[in-house]
Amino acid sequence: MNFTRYRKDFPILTKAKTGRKPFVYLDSAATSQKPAAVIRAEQDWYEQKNANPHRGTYALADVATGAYERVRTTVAKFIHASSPETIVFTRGTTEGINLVVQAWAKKNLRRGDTVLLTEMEHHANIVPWQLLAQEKGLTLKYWPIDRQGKLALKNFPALLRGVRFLSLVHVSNVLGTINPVEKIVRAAHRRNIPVLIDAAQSVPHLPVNLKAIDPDFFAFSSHKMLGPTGVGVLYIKKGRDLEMTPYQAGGDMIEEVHWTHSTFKPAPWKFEAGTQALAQVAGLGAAIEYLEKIGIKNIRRHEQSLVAHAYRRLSRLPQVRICGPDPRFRSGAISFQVTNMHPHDLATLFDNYGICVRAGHHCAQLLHRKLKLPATTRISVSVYNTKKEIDYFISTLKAILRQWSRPTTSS
Amino acid sequence: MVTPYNLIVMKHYRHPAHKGRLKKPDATFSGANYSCGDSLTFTVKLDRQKRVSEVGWDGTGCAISQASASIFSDLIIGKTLAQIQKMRSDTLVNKLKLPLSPMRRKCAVLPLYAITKEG
Repeated sequence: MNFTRYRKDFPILTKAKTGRKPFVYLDSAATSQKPAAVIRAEQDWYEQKNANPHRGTYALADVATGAYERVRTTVAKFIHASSPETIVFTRGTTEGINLVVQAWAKKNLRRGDTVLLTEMEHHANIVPWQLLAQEKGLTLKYWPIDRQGKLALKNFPALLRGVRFLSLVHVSNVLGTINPVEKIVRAAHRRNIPVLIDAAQSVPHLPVNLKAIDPDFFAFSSHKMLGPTGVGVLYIKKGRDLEMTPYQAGGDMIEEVHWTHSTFKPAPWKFEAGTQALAQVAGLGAAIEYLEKIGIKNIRRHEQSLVAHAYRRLSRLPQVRICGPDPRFRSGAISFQVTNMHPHDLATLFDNYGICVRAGHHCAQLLHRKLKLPATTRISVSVYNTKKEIDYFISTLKAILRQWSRPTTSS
Repeated sequence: MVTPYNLIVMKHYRHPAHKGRLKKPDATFSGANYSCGDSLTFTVKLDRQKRVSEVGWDGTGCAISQASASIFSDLIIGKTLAQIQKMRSDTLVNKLKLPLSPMRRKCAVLPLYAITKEG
């Protein structure tokens, strides 16, 4: 399947205000670029549909409510959730995780309880738990990774002993590792451990079926899946919502307000206080339609071939050390280290050639401590990237390495 | 042909001045840039007038912060700590003779930050 034809759908590929040519964007794991259909959907919302859903009695309010709720159905179908009522709109993955920590864990976990995380978590799935652990006296445990950058699975059910909650990443934003979440959730559920999955890096790149994975909570962001910033999704399994307090309180999430107390709407509206990011939700709907038009399986195949190609060519360079497993076990990202070269220098020099790569700890300081690296350089791909771009990235890297080793004794 | 940085930066990066910690320093200063994991430690000896007579520094980081630390270590000899703390960041950054983005400017001012934040 030729993916080059999708490039014309992304205005920024020709209009980016960097003054650099070519413009090669290899940082989609940070945020993806947006197709015109998504940008148009936001504009259409303001031009044709804008009213506050669930509130007005006029025709336009019905249009707004209908459009807003239809996206909920689109999302539910996209990830094979049991019903639209399991889908809560949030501001992003980070808010989704904070919501679970504040509205479920704070109420249901007690002093001395253990929460299991993994060594490959993003800060968004570590720090909210640390704050709650300090507040409530919880213990945090970290599931170790092996030398290939995969979760150590040997004897892992033993790790679950005494654990009251498991929160883990589906796809690592640094290593690219795809965790076998189906198997892990099954083992956790056998011990009645609820599971939250940080799916920020999986939903944009892999076919996701919640009927098969069966998590209790599942959080992801729109902006990493070709959709607008400012909106995300938290799936809450039916029944778990009844164990939760509201996260934020305010308009639209209530049924009746009395002088001393209030009653709340059922999920998902119970968790959507105040006016939501309406135009962005419309944009998210368009993003999912766009992904489905291409086919998420085709996207997976395309991105895997790009990553495998980059992996193969990078591993031939003796100065390069790739972090994480071989391409079969990874999604659309590769982080690597170059001998005697700091990632920030590398990223700055790539920028001179119009190539956007990420350098730093990628919001995963614990993982970098484990890898014994202060920082890494990361490339990550999406539908608009091509094999030609990967070849350009490799030839540029070779040129940079040649220049870097040039002596400075002259003059 | 695009060159990696310039000769000033590359020379200081490859052959840094005053690299290594002093054994019995009169003062020690450290600073870190958490966004990239760079960290620098400066050790200095002071003469009777409280001026820096010897300096030794150590740390890991990108070429910009390493070159800047090398240049900085040259700059502070003969100055009192109070004088160093009043040094303007441009004084240091301009010595690199390199256009820097806001993110990379932070790398360049790390040595100064290490000393001023403890002042």
